[in-house]
Order: sequence, then structure tokens, then C-alpha cells
Amino acid sequence: MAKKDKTLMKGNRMWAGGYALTSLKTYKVRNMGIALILAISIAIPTTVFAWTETGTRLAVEDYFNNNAYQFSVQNVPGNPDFSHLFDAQETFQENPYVEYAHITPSTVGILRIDGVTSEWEAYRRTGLNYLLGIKDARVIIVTPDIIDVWSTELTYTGDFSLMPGQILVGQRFIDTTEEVTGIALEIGSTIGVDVLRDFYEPRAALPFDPLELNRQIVRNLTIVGIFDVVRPTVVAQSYPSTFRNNWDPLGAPTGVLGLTDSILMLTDDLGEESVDTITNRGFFSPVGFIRGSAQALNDAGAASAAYNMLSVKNQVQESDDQLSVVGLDNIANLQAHIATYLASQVLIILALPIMVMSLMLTIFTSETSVSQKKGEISALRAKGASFNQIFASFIWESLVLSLVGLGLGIGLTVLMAPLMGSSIGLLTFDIVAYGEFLSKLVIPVQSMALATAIAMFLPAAYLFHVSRRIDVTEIGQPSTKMNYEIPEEVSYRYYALGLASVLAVLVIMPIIIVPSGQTALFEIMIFTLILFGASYLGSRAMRLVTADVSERVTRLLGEKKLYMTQSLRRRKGQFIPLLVILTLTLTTTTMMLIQTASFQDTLTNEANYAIGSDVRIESDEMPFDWIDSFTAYTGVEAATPVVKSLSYIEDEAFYVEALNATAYRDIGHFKETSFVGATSDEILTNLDATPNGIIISEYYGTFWNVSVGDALEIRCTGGSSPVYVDFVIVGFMRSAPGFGMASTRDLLGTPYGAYFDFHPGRGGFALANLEFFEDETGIDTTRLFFAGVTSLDEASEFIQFLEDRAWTDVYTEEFIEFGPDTITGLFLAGLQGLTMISFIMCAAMGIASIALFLGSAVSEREPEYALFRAIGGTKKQVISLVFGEFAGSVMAAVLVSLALGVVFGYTATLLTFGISSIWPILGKVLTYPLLVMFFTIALECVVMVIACYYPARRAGNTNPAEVLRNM
Amino acid sequence: MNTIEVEEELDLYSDLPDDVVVSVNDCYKIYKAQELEVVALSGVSLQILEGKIMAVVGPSGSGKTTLINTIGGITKATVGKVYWANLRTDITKLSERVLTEARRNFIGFHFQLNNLLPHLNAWQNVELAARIAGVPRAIRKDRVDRLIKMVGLEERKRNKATTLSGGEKSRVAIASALVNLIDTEGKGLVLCDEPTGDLDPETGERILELFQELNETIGTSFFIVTHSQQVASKADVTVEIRDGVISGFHQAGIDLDELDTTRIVRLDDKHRLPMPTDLLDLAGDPREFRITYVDKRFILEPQTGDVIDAMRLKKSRTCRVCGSEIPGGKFICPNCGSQVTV
Repeated sequence: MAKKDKTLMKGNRMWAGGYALTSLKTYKVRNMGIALILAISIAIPTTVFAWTETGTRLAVEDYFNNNAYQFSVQNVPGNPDFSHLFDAQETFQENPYVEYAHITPSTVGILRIDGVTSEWEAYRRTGLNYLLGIKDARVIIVTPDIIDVWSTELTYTGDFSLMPGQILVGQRFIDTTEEVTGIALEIGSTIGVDVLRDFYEPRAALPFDPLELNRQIVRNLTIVGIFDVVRPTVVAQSYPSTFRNNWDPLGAPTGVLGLTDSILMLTDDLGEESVDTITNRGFFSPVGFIRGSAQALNDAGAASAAYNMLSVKNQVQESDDQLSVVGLDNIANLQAHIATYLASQVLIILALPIMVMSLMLTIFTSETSVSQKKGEISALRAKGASFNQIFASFIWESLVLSLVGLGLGIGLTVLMAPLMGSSIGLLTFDIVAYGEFLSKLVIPVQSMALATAIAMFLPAAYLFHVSRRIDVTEIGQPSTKMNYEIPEEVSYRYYALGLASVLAVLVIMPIIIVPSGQTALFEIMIFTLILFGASYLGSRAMRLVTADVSERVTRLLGEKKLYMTQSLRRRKGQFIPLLVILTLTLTTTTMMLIQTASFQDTLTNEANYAIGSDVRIESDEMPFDWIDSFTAYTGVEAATPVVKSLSYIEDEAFYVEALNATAYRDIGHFKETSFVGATSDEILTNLDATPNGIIISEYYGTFWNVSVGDALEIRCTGGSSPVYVDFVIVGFMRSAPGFGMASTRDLLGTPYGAYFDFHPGRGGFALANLEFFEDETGIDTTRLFFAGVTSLDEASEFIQFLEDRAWTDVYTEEFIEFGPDTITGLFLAGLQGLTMISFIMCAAMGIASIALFLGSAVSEREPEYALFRAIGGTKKQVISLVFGEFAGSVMAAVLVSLALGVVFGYTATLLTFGISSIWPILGKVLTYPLLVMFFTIALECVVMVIACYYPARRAGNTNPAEVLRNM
Repeated sequence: MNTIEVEEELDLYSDLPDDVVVSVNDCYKIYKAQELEVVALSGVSLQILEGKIMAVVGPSGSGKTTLINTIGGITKATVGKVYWANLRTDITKLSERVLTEARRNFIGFHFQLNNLLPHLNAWQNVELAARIAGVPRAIRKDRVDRLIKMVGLEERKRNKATTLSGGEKSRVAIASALVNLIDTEGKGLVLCDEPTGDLDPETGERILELFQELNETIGTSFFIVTHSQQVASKADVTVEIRDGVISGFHQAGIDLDELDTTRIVRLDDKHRLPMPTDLLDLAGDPREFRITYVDKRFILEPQTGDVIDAMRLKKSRTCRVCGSEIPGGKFICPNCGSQVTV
């Protein structure tokens, strides 16, 4: 047994990291290329997620900006014990989703104008007060804070702010005051109010004691503003009117003491004590307005903001059945908006080809990068670097690269997510919206995690390649490896044949299997695979074709031909991947342009059909003859009221849509496919001629086995009770403008109109004559009108009138926007944004891969160029030779991808509708935006060709003496 | 530099002389390439002595590079032992990690291809091996400066490797090979594979002079694989290798044209003696020899014709029983049937 000292050098653990940095610095271009490509694969999903997350947050914020309060709480009518409300107040003030709550006590006040109004002895809320000369009103006690918030909820004239001694009054208060007192109050008028602090109403038999009302007389109140209610906000809904007879005990009751019949008064004008009394004992329950916290809701997850807000409402409602909660009806819109954003995340799948492409490129370049370092590994081994040290240096290198890639990817996301959010057309965006989106940009944590996971892909690829390489690398390997690829002698026909069959599958696939929902996703996956296959086959075929062509044009190319032809047939290793990448990027760009343009056109088509006529008016209940006033405006051609009545044949429910057939015939945006077996003119003229005529859906025609001329007895919902009406069938339809699909059973998705409530539900609809229907059912008012105009410009006055009118919504072609703030436009905006992003990324990737591939191709072929120079070629000749070859290849890729892009664009359009939230009634419109396509591709092409020049110049700069000496 | 203690049960190498740096004992190296086995080394034994320059000459494919890789511990011998003086043990059983660590301050490499990293300058290339080994900065700097001076590259030390001339690259490479050996009191070994392969004779000469100079000043041993007469002439010992077998040793500088006058052949571990092919050629490539030992000399007489077959044909016998003749190749008497016994 002997013990011996052995000296081992354990090595420097830190060396690997330092060496990795040196190595990164040495191969700047290559490493930046790898990082950029990695960044693209990171940026694509992150951008879409950041877009939806930020969009959702903005939608939530928008909702809170447009709605001062989310809901209000007060006692149920008739319960004078307001303590329920005070308990609830504590509950919701502790709730994290509640930003603040405003409590507004209110009671009855009686108008006092000295010398005009007489003294009163008794007051009953439901009495004939106006007849008695008593003008009562609701007195709502507010603070400057509350006034500030309300200013956005109400319309007003004058000021909407209060100083002590000033009041705001409702329009109805002004009107009724004039009725009762004959005095027209206006801004600046001064009045007094007897505020009744205690609720008191003796039983009928008892004498009235006015002292019980605990009256407080407040004088010298100046009216500074008059407000009115024009939209159903939470504030408007929270002060319900009391219905009573004011003048005639036998007349119809009218609403009083509501919000517009009220006086807004500051606490200071009454004093704390009075306010306290009113709060606890006033005529009306105080109203608690709840403002949700956009911040807290967003922080808790924007996607569930609407649900969380609803849960607050439910919590209050369930805590006490003596409380009535008003509001949050419109939160459904917010929820729909959020849901559309979430649904639009599926757009990621359209960018799948780019993601896969960049990941493939990452693997490929990392592989080349490692294999090019074989000599370096060998040298390091000779210098005593251990397996672990070399391995670590590579891993460090890849980690730094992936970190840079991650940073770049996040940077790209920050730049591009707002592009999606602010896109307003094909390759156009709104700079203001961009800035707004950028300032609010949020990248969700989950997508950051995903981004990091994708970034880790690079070290993983390195890990795989390096461990394979170091093992086989021995000490003393040459630093460069020369090998000669055998020229390819396959006929391009095989590739062309392969390409044709792949494309055939592509075109047939969406026709055989209808893409919708899950199927569409699956088909998009196959689509992506085919895209890759086609690009591969296309670029191989094109390369051989180019070689053949250059062989034939001897006279043009001269002696270059010999080299070019062989060179083009060779070099599969470098050129095929590059060509595939270029073809892929250009095809993807072309395809997405077509897809987006087609989607937009289809959507416009759908929108116009859904609106039905030039102008679609949804108003409050108006008599039919309202349309007579329309013709007074210039540009209005014809109009018709549309009555919608839920009707039945046995248990089958559908809507009868009664309208003026001639007017509808003249103004409706009909399509050839609308009616069955006849034109719209014929069939609607026929309907007009048959008073009890009806046009039913093709589906019902078959379902009930009826034909034209058959009678149908339909139970329609009349003005007050169901009415049985006998109709005669005059025709059948598939769909109709303004309504949608005649039978809902023919719907395979949600049509455009459904998003605006244009589309009848249940079994669908039938068209009938308005006059006949009015006679039968007694219905003489409606909320829907169609109007035709000569042009929107000429009828601008008419449209302006409708837009200014309260409770009225007007829809025209111009009104339907596809901006990202509408539910229907969101998907389109996302698609447009994605197209733009794809364009940028594809161009970046194309250029990066040209730099990477051609750069390494040139360095590998240096001996050849050197040889050229050595046998008498000039520098210029080498450049033109190499540039010709490279640029030729790029042009070949452009040609192939234009052709492929058109075919893929067609299928992509069909598939996009499969995943979009809108199902087109009229079929898809295929649009080829030739000009945009031409310019985009030309731009990309020019940049790529320019990018080819640099490696060519490097080839020209080859020093034959140096290269050949080292051979 | 760390010192570790390893306990060993038996010191097999205790009787090796102290001046042995590396000893190769009866090594075989068999490569397997697609079902085909290639014997690159076939029972090679040699010892590299401290402070000596040993050259290996032999035709291409004779196993020179395999031998150098086996000595350097880069490839492991299929059979046989390789002893390293710094570990005082056989390295063929050691793990890659221990080997790498032990190699750092024991063996330096110098290849025809120089193995310089193109993105580093001359100074950094020399320093790299010391960096990898974890030599502290101050020591490292001192060593590199000394080496750069020794190889005469002070003027060019900031130049990138790609801008150096062939001779300069070679100088950087040798300095780099020595950077961890320079302070280890002898017992270091530089393995050189065709060190002057791509240099012109004059530059080659200067590099070789540098080798000799370094060998004398630092005391490092050199093991040089070469085709070059020039190199072989500078060596203390030259080894001839042919078909994976060491076919001869030569003391001191040799002349490739007169190898037969200086050659010493050594029995291998199985008492076999390799025959120098140039001498066989001279003798008309005989296959058989008569060997005799007379007057303290072994005499080999080439046998012409097929000895064994001739013996078979000619040797007929007389039957010991009946006396009739038994033909050659037969062992039973055709007359009486009795068996021939020896």
C-alpha cells in the first residue's frame, strides 16, 4: 500500500462563461440572426396574448369611463325601514371591487315662490296636488363629488355644478311648474322649497297634522342648470316615478317625483342634522350608488371582470331581500366584448406557420453554428478543456442568446401588440390608438412564462447538438471541412407533380370537410403542414427549373452558364432550406393579405345585408305614420315600419315581420340568393298584391309540406292578446336583408346581425303585409324602421336628425365600423394586425435567413471563388456570378410563393371563417388585393435582393492567395 | 493546482526508472468501422524519457496518429497499458474527467493545423490553455510573457491568429502547448503531429531549433510524429512504425536513406521481432529464414522455395516392420499395414 500525491489541475469553472461571451462577440451577425429568429417565435404568441389582455383591460376601463355607476341599491318600495340599506352599505364598502359608493338621501319638496304659490295645509304624495296648486318634486341631496360624476350621465343646459344656494332641476319639473303656477322657470330664476323631512301620511280618517312633516323652508335657491335624461343609465333608473292623477281623478295617471321631476340640492343648504333626518325618515329610500373599481377588477383578471362585478351585485342582492338593486344590465355587453377578445386568441393559430418556421430555423442555425465550431472544439480540447467546460461554454452562449432573444421578443411584442390594437385596415393603423394602446400595454404573466419556455428552446437545441458534437470531435481536427455536393440529376417534374397533388389536397380539404370550431383548428394544422410541404417541393422544383433555364440561355449567360447550372443543381444543403424559408415567408405574407382582404369584404357584405337597407332605425315605440315625416328630409326615398310579432303554428315559434312590401322591395339590399325560384322584385310585388300574403322560409315550406297558394293559420301576438290570422303563402325565402337567415335551423354559426340583435331568434321569420297585419292585430306602433336614401351624403340631415333624437339608434353602412372597439370588428382588427405583424416578421426572417445562409454559403465556397479569381476572373465577375445566382434563387422563391400564396390564401380564407366568431350568411367573398399584394411582395423582394448583394460582395473580396494557400 | 491523494493497492510501476515520462506497454488499438476491424496499433511498446526528443517516422496509415492519441490519452488503447509519470499509473482505466485534468499540466499538443482560435490574438491563444486550466492571472501573465519571449513573438503578440505567418502560428502553438508545462520541473511532454508539415524547410528548421532550445531550457520531452528527414535528424531517439508495429529504433539523429545502418530492433513482449521491410526488399522478399546463433550473432538465412511443401513431398520412409517403402505423406505401410511411429 502506498500513498502518492498526484497533481491534477481542476480547471477554471468560470472560464466557460467568459469564453461564451468572447465567442458571442466574434460571430456577431450569426448570433444576432439566431436571436432575432428566436425573438420572432417568442413574439408571436406573446403579441396575441398581450393584445387580448390589454384590449380586455381597455374594454373594462372604457366601460367604467362610460358608466359612472355600476348599480344602485335602495329599499324595496313600501319599506320605510332604511336600516337595511345602511347594513348593505357596510358590506359593499368592504368589497375590494368597489371603488366608492355615493349615498343620496331624497324626500319630497314643495315649490315655494313668494307671492305666487299659496300656503298649504296638508300634503299627500298621491293626492291631486297640482289641482290644489301644490307643485311637489323630489329633492335629492347631493355633494359636489356626486354632481361631478352625474355630469356625464345626464344631459343639461346651463351649469352642472353647485355652490351653496344653487340648485339643479329636471326638465319635467320646469314643465309641470309652468302647468301648475303658470310661471316659466329658467336658469337664473330663484325659488324656495319646503323640504318635508319626515315621511307622514295619516290614515284617511285621521285629521292631517302638517307639523308631522317636519318641514324645513329653504329660500333663495337659484337655478343654475336644467337637466334631462336621454339614456337608461343607472342614475336615471334609480329614481322611479310615482304614478298618480294630478288634475283629474278619473284621467290616466302620470309619473311624477322621478329624476327629471327633481331638484338637486347641496347638503349645506339643509344642514347636517336635516340631512340625517331625511336619510332616516324621508319620503324615499336613500339610494346607494356603487362604483366598481376598474383597477381592482383588472388586477383580479380582466377576463373575469364582468363576472366579478356581477358577483358584487349578487352579494348585495342575496344579503337582504328588502333591497332592490338596479343596473348592471349593460355589463353583458362588456362580457361579450371580453369574450370576443378571448375568442380572438385563436388567431394565434393563423400565425402558426411563422412560429413553426422560426423554431425550425432556430434549430437549423444552431446546428450549423455548432457544426461550424467543430475545429474550435477540437482546438479547445487540445488545450485541455474538459467536456464539461466546452459544454458549459456552449450552454452559456445559448443561454445568453436565448436571453437576448427573449428581450428582443418582448421588445417586438411591445411594438407589435399595439399594432393589432390600433389596426384600421390592411397594413394601416391609427397612430393615436397605437400610442394609447402602447401606454396601457400589459403582457400577462402566463404568456411571459410561455415566452420564457419558447426561449429555452434554443439552449435545448444546443444541448442536443453540442452533446452529439463534442463526443465525436477529436483533437487535431481541421478547422474547416471541404466537401463537394454532387449535382442533383432529378427531373423537376417529380417535384412539380408532388406539389400539384399537395395543392389539390389543400383546395379540396375545406370543401369536403366544412371548417368550423374544432374541425377548423384541426384543418389549420393540416394546412400548416401542407404549407411547409408545398414550400419545400415548390422551391426544389423551382431551383431545378432555374437550372434548366440557365442551361438553355447560353447566349445570355455565356461562360457563366456552366457554373450556374451546376451550382444551382448542387448545394441542396444550403439553398433548399433558404429557399423553403423564403418561399414560406413570402407565401405567408401573400396568403394573409388575401385572407384579410377577403374577410373584410365578406364582413362588409354581411354587415350591409344585416342592416337591410340604407338606413336602419331603432327607436322608442313610434306610430307607423312617423315615416311620413321622413320624406320631408332631402334624399329620403322610401321607408317602412317593421313590426315584429312572435307567432306560432302549433308549437313551432317564429316571428312574423310585417312591413310595407313595395317600400321594402325598393330599398332592401337583396341578393340573388335571397328568395327561392323568383327575384325579389317579383316575389315582393306579389306579396303587395296579396293583402294576406306571407313569405315563409324554405325550411318551413318543406317542413310543413306547403306550396305557393296554400293557406296558413298563424297565432300571432297582437296588441293585447293572441290573434289567429289566416295567411296565404306567396313565396319562399332563404334569407332577407335586415333580418338574416329565414330559418334559424339553416344557421351554422352566429351571423353578423345577431351581434346587433338584428337577427330574429326562435325558428326564424316570415314576411307579411303591414296594413293587413295592423288590421288583424291592432298593433299600430313599432320600434324598427327601414329607410332608403339616394345617398348617405344627401340624406345627412335626416341621419343627423335621427342621431340627435333621444332613445334612437341609427345604423348605416358608415356607422358599422370594423374598428377594434366593436365586437364584430375586433376579430377583423386582430386579423389585420396579425397580417401586418406577419409581414414585418416574415420580412425580418427572410432577411435574417439570407444573411445567415448566404453568409455561410459564401464562406464555405471561398475556395471556389478563389479558384475563379486564380484562373483569371475579375472581382466584378465573381460578384455578378454570385449575385446572379443568389438573386435568381430569391426571384424564383418569389414566383413560387406568389403562385402558392394565391392558392393558400383561398383556403386560409375559408378556414379563417371556421374560427371566427361570425358565420357568413351570404357565402365568402374572395378578394385579391392585387395592388397591396404587389407592393408588399415587391418591397420584400427588393429588400431581399439587396440583402443578397452583401454576401456576393464578400465572395468578390475573396483573396485567392490566402484561401488557396490554406487549402 | 490541486493535489489529491489516491490510494492504490499495488504499485505496478515501482520498478520503472525515474526518468520515464510515458511508457506504452504492448498496446493494441482496433477501430471498428462498419463491421470491418482495422488494427491501427498491434503490440506497441515504447518509453519516452525525460528531457528527450523522440521522433516517430512511418508511412501514412502506419498508426502514427493513433499512437500519439493513445499516448495523449485522447483515444484509449483496446488492449495494453499507457503509463503517465505524473499520475504514476496506467491511464487506460481512468475517467475522461481525471484524464483531462491530469493532462493539463503534463501534456501539450502541437499539430500541423496549429489549432489556434482565429478570433484570439497570439498572446490570448497562448494564454487560453492556462485560462482553461484555472491558473491565477498573475502567474498566467508571467508565463505567457516568458513563453512569448522565448518563441520570439513579442512584436507580434497582439496580432490575430489569422494574420500570422505559418512559422509564427507554429511558434504560438508551441508556446500554447507549453504554457502549463513550463513550471512543472520536467516530466512534461509535448506531442507534435507533423509540426513542420506546412512550413518551408528554412522556417521548419528554425522551429525545430526552437524545439531543441525549449527542450534544453525547460527540460520538457517532445514526441514528434513526422515524415520529415529534417525533424528526424534532430531527435534523440527515432522510432520506425509500420502497420501498427514498431519496426525499429534509432539512436540520435538519423538519415532516412540510411535507416538500415542505424536500426535497432527490439523484441516485443511476446518475443517477436519485426523485420524491417527495406531489408526484406533487398533480399527479394523472402518468407522463410533459417536462424542460427553463431559467435554471438544471430544469422538469418532466407530460404528460397517452399520449404514445408518440399519437405512433405520428398520425405518418404522405410517401414520398420517389413522394410518396404512408405510414400511421402502416407503414414501406414502399404505392404504390412503397420503405422509409422516417430
